[in-house]
Amino acid sequence: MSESSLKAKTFPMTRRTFSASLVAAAALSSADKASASLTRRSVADRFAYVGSGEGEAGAIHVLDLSTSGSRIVQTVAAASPVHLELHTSGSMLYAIHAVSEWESLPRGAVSAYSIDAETGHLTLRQTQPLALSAINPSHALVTSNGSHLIVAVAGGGSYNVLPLENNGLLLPVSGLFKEVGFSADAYAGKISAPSSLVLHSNGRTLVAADTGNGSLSTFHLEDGSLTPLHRRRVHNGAGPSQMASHANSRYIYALNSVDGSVSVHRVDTSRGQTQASHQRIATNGARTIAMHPSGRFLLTSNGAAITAWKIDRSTGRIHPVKTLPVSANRIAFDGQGRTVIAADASSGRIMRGEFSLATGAIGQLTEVASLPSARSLVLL
Amino acid sequence: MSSTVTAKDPRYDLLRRGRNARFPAKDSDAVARIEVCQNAEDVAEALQRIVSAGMRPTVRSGGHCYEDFVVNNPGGAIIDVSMLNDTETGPGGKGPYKVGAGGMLGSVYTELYKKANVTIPGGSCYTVAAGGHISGGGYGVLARLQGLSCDYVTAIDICTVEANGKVAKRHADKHHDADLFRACLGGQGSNFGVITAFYFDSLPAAPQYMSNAGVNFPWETMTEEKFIHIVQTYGGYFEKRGKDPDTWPMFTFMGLNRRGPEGSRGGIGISASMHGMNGEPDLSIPTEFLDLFLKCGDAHSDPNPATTSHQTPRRGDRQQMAPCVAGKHAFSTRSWLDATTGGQGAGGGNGNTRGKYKSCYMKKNFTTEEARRIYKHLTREISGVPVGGIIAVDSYGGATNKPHLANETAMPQRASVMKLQFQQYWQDPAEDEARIKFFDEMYTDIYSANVDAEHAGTPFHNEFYEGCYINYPDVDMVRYPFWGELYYGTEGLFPFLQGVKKTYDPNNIFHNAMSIRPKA
Repeated sequence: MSESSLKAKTFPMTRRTFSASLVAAAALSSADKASASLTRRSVADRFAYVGSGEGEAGAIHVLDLSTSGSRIVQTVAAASPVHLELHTSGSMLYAIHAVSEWESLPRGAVSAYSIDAETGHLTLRQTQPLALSAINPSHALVTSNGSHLIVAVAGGGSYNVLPLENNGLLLPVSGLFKEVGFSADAYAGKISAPSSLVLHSNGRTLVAADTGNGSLSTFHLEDGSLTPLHRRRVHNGAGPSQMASHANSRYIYALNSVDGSVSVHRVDTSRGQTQASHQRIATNGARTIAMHPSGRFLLTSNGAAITAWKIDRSTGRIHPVKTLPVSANRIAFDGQGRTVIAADASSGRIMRGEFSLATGAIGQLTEVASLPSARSLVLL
Repeated sequence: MSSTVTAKDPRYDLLRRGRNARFPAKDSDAVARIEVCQNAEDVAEALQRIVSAGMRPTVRSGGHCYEDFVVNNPGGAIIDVSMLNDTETGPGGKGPYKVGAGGMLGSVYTELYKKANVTIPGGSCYTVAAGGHISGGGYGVLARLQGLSCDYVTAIDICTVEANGKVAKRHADKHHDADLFRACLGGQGSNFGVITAFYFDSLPAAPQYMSNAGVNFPWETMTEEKFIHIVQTYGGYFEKRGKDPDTWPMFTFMGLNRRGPEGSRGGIGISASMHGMNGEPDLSIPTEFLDLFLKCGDAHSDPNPATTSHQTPRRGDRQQMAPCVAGKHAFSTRSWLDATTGGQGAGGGNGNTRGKYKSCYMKKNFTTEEARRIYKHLTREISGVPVGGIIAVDSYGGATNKPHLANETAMPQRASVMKLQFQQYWQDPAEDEARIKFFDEMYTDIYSANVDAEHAGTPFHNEFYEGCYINYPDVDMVRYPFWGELYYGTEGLFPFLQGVKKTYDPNNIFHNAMSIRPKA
């Protein structure tokens, strides 16, 4: 077990209880086109960025994974970093601030940090507020052409679209879609709480999971505008909170936080909708989900154990193959799928293991860092 | 079906803006379209289309919103209800009375007077419309005599949006959607939905006549001591004598104009308007009031004073003012309807005028330190702010101060005797920053004299103040975590409104920078 030390602290660190969401690593597609003004990174999987804490005690920690004794090389202040997302070029990191107020107005915010190619260090370039009422954002993704950042806003029940300049900097919100509930009984109906986004490989079909109204919605994305295509109720009592997309984009795996199930849905881009699940499987209370870059395995974790599920290539159905008893609330693969990073939210332990593509087993699990908490994670 | 005005329509450039030329601040803030509705069915249908399209609706009746709450709606849609302007009475001119949300006050007063000899004790700005005015409280020159507009409302028609995104048309009153009804009596309907009409089972009789006269103190001979004497004479009257019911037919206005350049005309003006319900008014009350100012020194009699901040003295017959003589003030008497609507009250700015506003409810007289700070700011030189600015001090209290109404409406301020509106108007956008900064500095300084440290900079509720008026919204106030209490009081009204919000607008469809925010 390696010692870790905090370097370049910018503020006093306090241990805090954290709540939920750490995002699966965004695998960089080799087909992605980098912006002309952003240099594409050549060295992948060396740095990990971990968001921790809430409010003014929030921070982003930069971990250098290249050495055997992986270390924290930088910590920067960042309010409630519920989600971290990389620009397709890997040269800019976006932090989604899950706050209910920014500069006294009811809205969340997004910050853009440039990434030093050699050191992985972050430099805050700007913070852009979301639209009015877009409070407590939950998730975001960068479009495959690097032109826009789309933000799912759980608190505000909406989606915000922010254009990106050629250098990756954020422009003000240019488009938004305000969601509503989805219930026949108006008074008892749940209201919308968008929580997770997946962009189809066609770059035009956005799938959104809504924990509040219990649905998977599809949108057509064009020129920064979202046009709703379809909305499907998952199943009663589901509460889809996270999603993973199969590498072939034919299937969406929805982690349903209320009943702890995973539901498997085909994506029909010709009709612009997800289909009703053809498999729903109990996961013993899974809280996070991650897709192997090969599309052959899916990982879930319920906080006490990580389970590997093998995916049937023709049907998308999953069945469990391995279970590793380890305390982890967030898991992510590196770009090649050989390494798994697991984070335990309550203890702040960050662990690294080797993933077997043959069996789905995770071996050689070692602690690489210890942080006050961990709520978001992305690998570069 | 509503008329949809998009950017390609020649009407778009006008209809995307309100009456404050500051907004939208930039083109990218503007709405994508405006839905001009002619009836309640249009409103419901337009609202449904907007919500189903995932857009944000904002609502406009008269277009006088002081901030950018309506027109700063990037990519959204304005629901324009200005055409819902019918005023109806029951048979024989009796109640119930119905006033469309788009009814302009001047037209409403005229119709109610001619059809039924009644009135709504609303505001003095002719082109303000009922929707925002009444649902935010609605006070005017008859408030002391008759109360607030919202005190007379007995039902409202309003479109809300359910949790599942479906529009619901509601007729809310004390027995149906009672909480929503109460919330719209001062809590601003635009927090909860789109109001299309107000109903009144009964309304007070319209006065027959109004007489007014005034006094004026020129800046040329003003001193700090004299200024303090003047404002404390005014405030002292309403703290004490003004609580007597025989004074309630009188409305007064004190215009604390910022001192202009040397040689310019201008001064501190005080007017007294007395309403006569049956025949010409008894002038002994306003005479007694105006006589008080003679001891301030150098008082001039003004036969054509501005009766509110929206009115300027009539040009053409302006004459040199003579020194005041006790008991002899130059009252002019006109029919009430003419005095109320006759070519006056079109204030609040027009499309070319930029404005900034603040407010304060006062429960007591001005303190000496408070008055001294007002004087300081009205007389200091400010770079980038050449002229302009007024603190309008309206008489208040009387029939507005019925404590039980604080629990029956969403207007908690029921103990004040004066109501202040800080106003500034200008044309040049280059002056925006300096003017807004000047106002903020002045307001912050004035309301640090009599306020505890935690709430300093605001007229937070204490023995002197009752906070601010939501129909004079000031977005500067949201920097204070207690801004909700500042506008809605400390007795639980704001949590109540949050509860109504959760029930009737669970998706927070209707929102702006100062709307009721969902509970954390």
